[in-house]
Amino acid sequence: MTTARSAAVASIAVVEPLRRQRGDEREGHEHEPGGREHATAWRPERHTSKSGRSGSSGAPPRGSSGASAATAACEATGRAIRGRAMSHSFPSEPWTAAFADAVNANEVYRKHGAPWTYGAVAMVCSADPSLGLEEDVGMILDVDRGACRGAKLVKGMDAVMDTPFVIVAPYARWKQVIRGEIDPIKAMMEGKLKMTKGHLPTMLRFVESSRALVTSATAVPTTFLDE
Amino acid sequence: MEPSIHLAPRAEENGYAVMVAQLLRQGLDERTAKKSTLAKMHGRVTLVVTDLGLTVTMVFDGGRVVVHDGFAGIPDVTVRAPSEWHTKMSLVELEPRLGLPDPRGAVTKEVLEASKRGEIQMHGMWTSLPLVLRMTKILSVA
Repeated sequence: MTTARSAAVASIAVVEPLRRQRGDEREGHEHEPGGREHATAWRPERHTSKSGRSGSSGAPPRGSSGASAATAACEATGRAIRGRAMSHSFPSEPWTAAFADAVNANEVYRKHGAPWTYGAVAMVCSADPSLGLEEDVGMILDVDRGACRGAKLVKGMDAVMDTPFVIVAPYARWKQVIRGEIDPIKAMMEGKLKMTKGHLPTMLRFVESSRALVTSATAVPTTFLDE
Repeated sequence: MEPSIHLAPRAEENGYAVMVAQLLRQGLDERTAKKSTLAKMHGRVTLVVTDLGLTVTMVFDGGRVVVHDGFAGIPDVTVRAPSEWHTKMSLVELEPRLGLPDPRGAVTKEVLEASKRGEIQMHGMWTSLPLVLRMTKILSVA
């Protein structure tokens, strides 16, 4: 786990220059007078400025189901982010970086994922040559204590072998997840998303944070390879 | 006897059957006390996920469990609930001394309320109470 975490943390060094390049793409990219960026930009620290959370709806409303609350929060965040950022192709390095930002902007994930110290999570899109994906593409998220400390796009299943949790699905399923058309936990029960590596009891203990982590993708403005 | 968890033929096509088998295996590895509980279990428990149209049957025979897709024989216990409650039932708090569901636990209370409302239906619970309590224990991740 330490190795995986180290690898994921090291990925910050890979993603950081990309984020700087990406900064020009973003319409909503803002800087504070001291040079500090708002939440739409990369921030490795756990705590972000309040301005970056303005698009989130906060904790799930009392009495509502966890799934609908998490999805609603992500959709609210998504509306805010989509309103000021250009879309990225999925999967790509800019999309992965934007996904990390969306995770950090997700209040539901911040709340339910706060006790999470079990290592990085990889989401792998299976190879699909018809879409130009010649090999599996994975996004490794270094998540810890309710925050995403780094994100990395990798190719091939070997690259995610050191990641403690690995979820695999074909492109069409990830597309449904990103569009908010399917709930990730239900999709796992149906076998549409497969956890090929990881400790399921731990994942179930963190069912709400797992759901919020994946549904954060709905907040990322996305263009798809088949559209 | 070392416990063994197997998927019946074709059960690997049922995502929930795969999850249940994985949950049993990893739960037993994590807490060895569950192994002695499993060794005492005999019977068939069917889980019906009403909103997803999924059915899984666990056949317990001492320390051996076979997880089937759909119904497999006549179940001793049938649990019918939407997917959200099935995941929540794994989070029921257990009283540490006996390993029984803790009625003071927040999730236990929610599950009991859902049972009263009929959102969770458990058939055969009273005739197979020991099986139900042991199943709760071995599937619990709380």
